[in-house]
Amino acid sequence: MRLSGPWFSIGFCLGYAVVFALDLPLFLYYPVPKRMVLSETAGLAGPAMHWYGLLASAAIVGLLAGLIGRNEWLTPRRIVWSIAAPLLAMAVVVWNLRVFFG
Amino acid sequence: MLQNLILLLLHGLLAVGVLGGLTHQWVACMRRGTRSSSSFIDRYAAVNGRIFVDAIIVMYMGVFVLGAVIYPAYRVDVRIPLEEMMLGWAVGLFELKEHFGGIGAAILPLYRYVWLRQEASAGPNTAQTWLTSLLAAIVWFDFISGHVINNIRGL
Repeated sequence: MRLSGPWFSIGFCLGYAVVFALDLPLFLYYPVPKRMVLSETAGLAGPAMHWYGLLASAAIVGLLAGLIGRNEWLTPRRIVWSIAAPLLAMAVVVWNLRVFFG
Repeated sequence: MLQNLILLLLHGLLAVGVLGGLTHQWVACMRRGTRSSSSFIDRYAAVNGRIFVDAIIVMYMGVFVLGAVIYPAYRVDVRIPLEEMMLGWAVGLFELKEHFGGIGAAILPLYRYVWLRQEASAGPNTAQTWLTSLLAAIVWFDFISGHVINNIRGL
């Protein structure tokens, strides 16, 4: 079983756009009690951090894409177009975080 | 506390290395085909971009891992005071930094592929230029925003 690096990147970025927009972290981390949990837990002190869980969720999508995708499918033209994946993920992040700058 | 400060300094110092390497590679990309002359800019640009790739990846991942390690301290000791100071834009700036940083780390395999695995073409390689530009933009944004936030309230 061979993992394609470029397809991992593409899958991760597309996955990140989705899991970020829908807020689907694989787990949450509570930094005050230093606990990792699967969902919001009322009894735990302090804020919950989503970022690690979002990375993990997107990494699963990336791993699937990397296992399915083949480097031979990436023609030079397709590689140039693959840059749309991180740009899309960044655009989704900016759009969803616009509330901080309003 | 002291441990976080040391890790933050290492995070920043390593980020300088990534910034320098990527900027150098980006300039070489944008001025591809420039003949080496006595001009400083031409000599700066006349380098083989491929030699930077692995060093940039290692340094980027170092910065990324250190950032991930000190992130909980930011979330508790810095973000909450920023919210109390009603500095929503600073919180948003850090949010952009962390998410862009994660996306940047994820595109490193694609970046490595276009630089080292793809056959070298005779003309300028568009994918190399675009990916290097994107990665450089992420690193510059993250570096400056991290600096601004640290100036407002550091660890």
